[in-house]
Amino acid sequence: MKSMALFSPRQKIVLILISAFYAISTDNPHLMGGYFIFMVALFLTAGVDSRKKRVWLAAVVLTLWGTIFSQSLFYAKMPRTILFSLINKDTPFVGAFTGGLNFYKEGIEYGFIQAMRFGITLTCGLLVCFTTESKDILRAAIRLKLPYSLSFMVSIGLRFIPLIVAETKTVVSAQRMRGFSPMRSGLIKPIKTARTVLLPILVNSIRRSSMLSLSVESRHFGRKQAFYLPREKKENIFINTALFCLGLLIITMGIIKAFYFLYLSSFFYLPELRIIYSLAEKYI
Amino acid sequence: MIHFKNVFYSYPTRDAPTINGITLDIERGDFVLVSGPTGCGKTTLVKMLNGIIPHLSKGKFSGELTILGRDVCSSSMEELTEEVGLIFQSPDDQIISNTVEEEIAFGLENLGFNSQQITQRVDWALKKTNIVNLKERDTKELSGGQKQRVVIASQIAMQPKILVFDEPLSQLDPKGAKEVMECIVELNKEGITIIIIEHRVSDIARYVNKALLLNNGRIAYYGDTKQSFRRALSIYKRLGIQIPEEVELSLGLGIKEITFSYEKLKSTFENKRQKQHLRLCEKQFQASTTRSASHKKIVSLQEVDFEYVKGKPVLEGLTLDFYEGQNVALMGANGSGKSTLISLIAGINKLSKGIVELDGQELNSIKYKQRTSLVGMLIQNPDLMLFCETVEKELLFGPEHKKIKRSEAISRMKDVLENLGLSKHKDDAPFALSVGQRLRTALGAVLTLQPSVLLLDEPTTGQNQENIVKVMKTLKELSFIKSIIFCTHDIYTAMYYADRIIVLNSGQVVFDGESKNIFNDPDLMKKNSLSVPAPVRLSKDCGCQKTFLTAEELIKSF
Repeated sequence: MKSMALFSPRQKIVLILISAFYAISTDNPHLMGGYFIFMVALFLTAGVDSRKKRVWLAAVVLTLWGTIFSQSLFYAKMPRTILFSLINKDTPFVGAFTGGLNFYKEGIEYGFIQAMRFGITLTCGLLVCFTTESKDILRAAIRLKLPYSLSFMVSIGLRFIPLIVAETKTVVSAQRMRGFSPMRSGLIKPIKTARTVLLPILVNSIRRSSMLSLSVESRHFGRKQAFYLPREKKENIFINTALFCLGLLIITMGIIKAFYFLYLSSFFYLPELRIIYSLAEKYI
Repeated sequence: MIHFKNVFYSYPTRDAPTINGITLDIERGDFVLVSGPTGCGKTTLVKMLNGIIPHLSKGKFSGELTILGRDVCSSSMEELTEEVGLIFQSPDDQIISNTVEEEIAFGLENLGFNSQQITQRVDWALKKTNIVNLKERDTKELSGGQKQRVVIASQIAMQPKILVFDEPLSQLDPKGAKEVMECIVELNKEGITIIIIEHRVSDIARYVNKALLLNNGRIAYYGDTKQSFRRALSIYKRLGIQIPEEVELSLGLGIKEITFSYEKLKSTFENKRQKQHLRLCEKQFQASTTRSASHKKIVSLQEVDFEYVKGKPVLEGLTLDFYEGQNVALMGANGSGKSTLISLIAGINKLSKGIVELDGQELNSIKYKQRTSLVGMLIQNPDLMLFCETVEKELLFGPEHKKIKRSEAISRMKDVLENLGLSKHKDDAPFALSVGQRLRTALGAVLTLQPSVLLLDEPTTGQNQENIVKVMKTLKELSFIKSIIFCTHDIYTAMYYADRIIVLNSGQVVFDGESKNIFNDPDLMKKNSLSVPAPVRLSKDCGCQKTFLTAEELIKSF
């Protein structure tokens, strides 16, 4: 049984919203790591094909590595504990010039939390994109009372993701045929050469979107709105209950966190809420 | 029904008007073919018909344009789109739904129809476009011709009185093009006015009653289609527009009224032969090539397997050799494996099994930078190859990355600019050029690397006859190219520029031989969606000793 087959498009959108809220409102590395593992488990059991899994893996690994690496090097808050030094500040010339380049323990922890935020949202977003048809997302978004134009734009954007991925591959291949390998040679070169890859894709996307908008305009887009074939599948009661509980839990966590921040910023304090402050500090 | 009176239109970025004083009337039920060279104003003209111009454009519009009595300037786009449906060349850029019926229903949903009305209209549109069997199919799984008919169905479901097509056939194989044309003809018979822009004049001219020929934003000819080929033949030729073989045959055989009827052409041809005791010259048809084929293998594929999705092979056990001095056309219906085959030769896709050799070396053992002098490839959408600020930089990009001496790179760049007629555009941004110029720029970027084997993936798609001839002629004359391998649906391009044709069907070679022999098996042609030109049919059916590819050859042979 594929895990995401249990979810209706509407439930998937709710899952995205819950995950996004969770990622923003939590600072506990254990809770973040746990939720990330839960999302990865959902992804791996969703029946996504291996090509898409590779795309996800590349995106997640790059994001996690980049975030943790950069935060551990450039963590500025105090106190901070040096784990090891890349460049000691006593090193002649470079040391004085850079002021030393160190990996900080707190930076790694902070980077890990930030990386989990990205990892959770990225995994959840790609999971929904890979397992849901764009028109189903549109329908579900409308049912969730999101504005029609916005929902339509999102669903069309999602529809064109595979095309853009295919075009990126074509552009890179065509450039290799001209002796240029924009995606090779480590991690820095792709950033430097991104323009050469992105420009043709961007120009082509603009051409395509203008064509699409003309086509949609010529079919009276946005004038009125009826729904044909409202065949959204019957929602699984277990998933609904689970999402409800998860949503409730996260809202509760959000409220606790909010009280904690009000206390920290000296805006609002109640001695009766000390247990909540303690809970927030230790666990959320 | 549609009335243009002294209409001018200039884009905000251009000084010269793109539409330059057009006055014409299109009547109810007309079927109008709009043709002309690239940049002559065809697309601009049709954009006026549903109000995209002037309503969504910031350019300067003047003159009088009325559609079904409504003034375009004072009517809203909503009012105009109710009457005029617009269909573009790429169905993939227009389809937004998962299933066929949802796609057709989209416009009706926007018009606020209820579910029952939508169902009725969807069924009606499916029937009219002959795709009832596709109703519940996933739009991504359809062929090009089927997708284009879905797009047409989604427009006619709203029951417009005018349908405007902008190159609807350009991305389709002959089978898909035929399906779409049959559908459009049926709609015209129902009373819908059709306006169609297309470079493939040969595929359409027989169906249309009016021809509109544009040049530099002005009308070069407007009137009866058949008359247009008599009165404006020299203009068609001057503008590099394809003349249908049937027209050339009619004129060459001295038929009073131009006919597209094969039977009439055949009977006239036979009469003429008998009456005048014509003796067909013995000259064999020869592919127009300057290369002399040798027996040295330049590309070799041995037992090649390839699959995009596990368990669904696109090519299986394919063994093929390509020789120096040989130009090869790869033909076959969409999805037959043509593009996959050349992508494997280029090393873009990795083989599932087998060996590809380039000039005696196994492809995988050759580094990318070394490959560039062995093999170059022009991909199907040349726009994806352009990313530099100017044409000059685009052409220099490859040699610079290959670390070719600056002086040598510049010399190559200048030669290519000259050969491809791009010298005056060398400082222009590639994206700002016309379709044909962009194709030539992308090709130029490959040619400055001077590859021995040139791979072209459907180089004729969306190009007019003049561009095709220009490009192919240039390639023939380049001495560093030892072999050209190209995919095409265009039998004329294959016959003119290839010595050898390979026809693929579901990843298997079903024909591999000299170009002139391809017409020996009518069944093969039919099964693989290949069209047989009228002169070829005539020479076969009338028992000529030789096969004449073009009307010109056939007429000249008397």
